[in-house]
Amino acid sequence: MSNASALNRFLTDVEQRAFRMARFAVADTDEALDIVQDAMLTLASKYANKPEAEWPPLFFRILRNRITDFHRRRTIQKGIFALFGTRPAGADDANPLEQLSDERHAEPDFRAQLNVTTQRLEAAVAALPARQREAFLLRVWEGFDVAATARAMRCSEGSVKTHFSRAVHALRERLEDDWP
Amino acid sequence: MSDGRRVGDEAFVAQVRDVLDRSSVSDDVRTRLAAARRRAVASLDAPVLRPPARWVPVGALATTLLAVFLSVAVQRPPPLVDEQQLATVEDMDLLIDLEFVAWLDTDNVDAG
Repeated sequence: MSNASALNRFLTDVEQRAFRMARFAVADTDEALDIVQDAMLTLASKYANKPEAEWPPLFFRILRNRITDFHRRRTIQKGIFALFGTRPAGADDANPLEQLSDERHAEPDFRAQLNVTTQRLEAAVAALPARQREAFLLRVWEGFDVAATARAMRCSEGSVKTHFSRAVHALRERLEDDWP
Repeated sequence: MSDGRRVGDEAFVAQVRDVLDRSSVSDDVRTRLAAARRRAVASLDAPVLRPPARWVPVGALATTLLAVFLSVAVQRPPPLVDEQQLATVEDMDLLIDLEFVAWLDTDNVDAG
């Protein structure tokens, strides 16, 4: 039972950040919720017996894999529909920033809670390349050190440093008007 | 990287972290996340449904093949000679003689 309470505590701590990370990556609230739920269930069913200290990188590695699966499915889906000369519902080749903005028009609750600065930050983070965004959010938001981030991203520590540095510079350039 | 730039990056990162921490998700999302968490935690107590072991499909195939073999073996072809009739033949020499006469009748008459 202590394992259950520890897992509950851990998931309570990370669930909102995990959702936001997933939403940055897939730009869809329902898909992001499904991805987070799947990651939670996988952690509980396969890795709950691991030491608690290993849960954070494991959980975010699972989350990242689910996000990758989502993009893989979406790519295949687009390929199939392109083959038949049709487009899947909701498919859009528009700029991701504009797409994110459009979705928030459709979600008044989400929009109402964010001020302009936060919206601009989230749009800029969402527009980062996936690896840069992962490295940035895991380091800044989850507070992972370089080694834990490398484990979660399944890459070298050098790659983490490179992705993180590029992400910081890209965000500073995009947000220089809001972040003096 | 210059010290000024690094300090600037650190301040920027701290500011980003602060903004991200202050932003929140909607009540609906929070509710759905809590439900997902409860399901995940509850799954710890659920019985583990193990996937079938690798030998199970092989065993199933072997069992099927054995069943097919046995069913074919049990359905023996009808006997060429009526067994009941064969059982009533008291003198096997008579049966052999009849076969010999039949053979003579077909081939060896012309040869002779």
